[in-house]
Amino acid sequence: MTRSRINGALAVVTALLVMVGATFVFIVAPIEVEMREIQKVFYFHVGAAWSMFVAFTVTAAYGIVYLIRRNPRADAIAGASASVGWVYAAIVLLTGMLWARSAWNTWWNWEPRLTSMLVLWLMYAGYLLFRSTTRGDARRTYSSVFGIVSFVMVPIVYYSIKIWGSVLHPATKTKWNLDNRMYYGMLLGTLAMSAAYVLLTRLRADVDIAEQEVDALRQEQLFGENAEG
Amino acid sequence: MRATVAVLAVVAFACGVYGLMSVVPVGVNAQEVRDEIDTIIAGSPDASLDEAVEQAVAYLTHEQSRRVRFLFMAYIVIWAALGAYIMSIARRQTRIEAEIARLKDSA
Repeated sequence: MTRSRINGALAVVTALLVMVGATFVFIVAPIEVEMREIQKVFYFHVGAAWSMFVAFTVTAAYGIVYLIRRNPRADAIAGASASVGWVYAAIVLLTGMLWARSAWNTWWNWEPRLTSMLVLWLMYAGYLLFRSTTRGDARRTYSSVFGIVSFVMVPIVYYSIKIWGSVLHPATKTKWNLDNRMYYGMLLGTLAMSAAYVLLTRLRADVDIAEQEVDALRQEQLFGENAEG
Repeated sequence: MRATVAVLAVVAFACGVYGLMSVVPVGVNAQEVRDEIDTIIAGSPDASLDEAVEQAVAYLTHEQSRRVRFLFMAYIVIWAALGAYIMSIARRQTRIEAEIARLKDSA
């Protein structure tokens, strides 16, 4: 099976999960008693947050793989994963702000989860900026190190409420005391966002690798012409 | 690649519209209306029941439309962010294809 066929199949799976997830969230899942309609943000907000954690973990893991094996594909996957994770982090921050404004009448609160999340987003913005302004082996090596160091923020964000406590934001749980329909809605939202993450990371990594190959060809052509001249 | 982008764009758009339309018909909860009437009457005992009902429904409808507006915005943010990201990948892909064609021509 070629990569484009796998990507096509993944796109179909993602599409189905998004459609089924949206149906569940908007039609089947009940309206929560306290927060009412705005609570429906929860399903894709949590899904995006989980996928973001996975994305940054993959970035650190492939960064380590690159430093050991010096395989450019590992670096491309690390960069693509960070890029998708950063978009997901932006989604988590923005949907969280809209949720907070509706439920708690405030756009932003400097509580531990939100603050650590903002720091995480800024760190990966720095990572992506570094990648976009450097080339070659230096980019691969230093961005791998950058990705591994930035990963420190992931457990900090995850455990921020357990460590520092919060009045507004609930702690991250592994067991949810939810209505079954809400639980399946959350599961579908998370699966849909995860499938989209896998697809987008693959597409982005392919583009990065193609760009690296074009760069190499261009260099080859340039030096070839110079040698002939 | 283009087929993938097209599928995702259509799904994102469809789900966005679907999500927005399916939330709109949600009505005001009867228990909420009763609780709000009790609050209004407790706050101003001179208010008639009709006035209290009118005020309660107006307040709850306003609050509901406010919550739904934020919910719409949140889902628009999700689909717009993913859509913009997909478009940026597609644009880079097109640029690379053009660059490859140029390199082939000049080789």
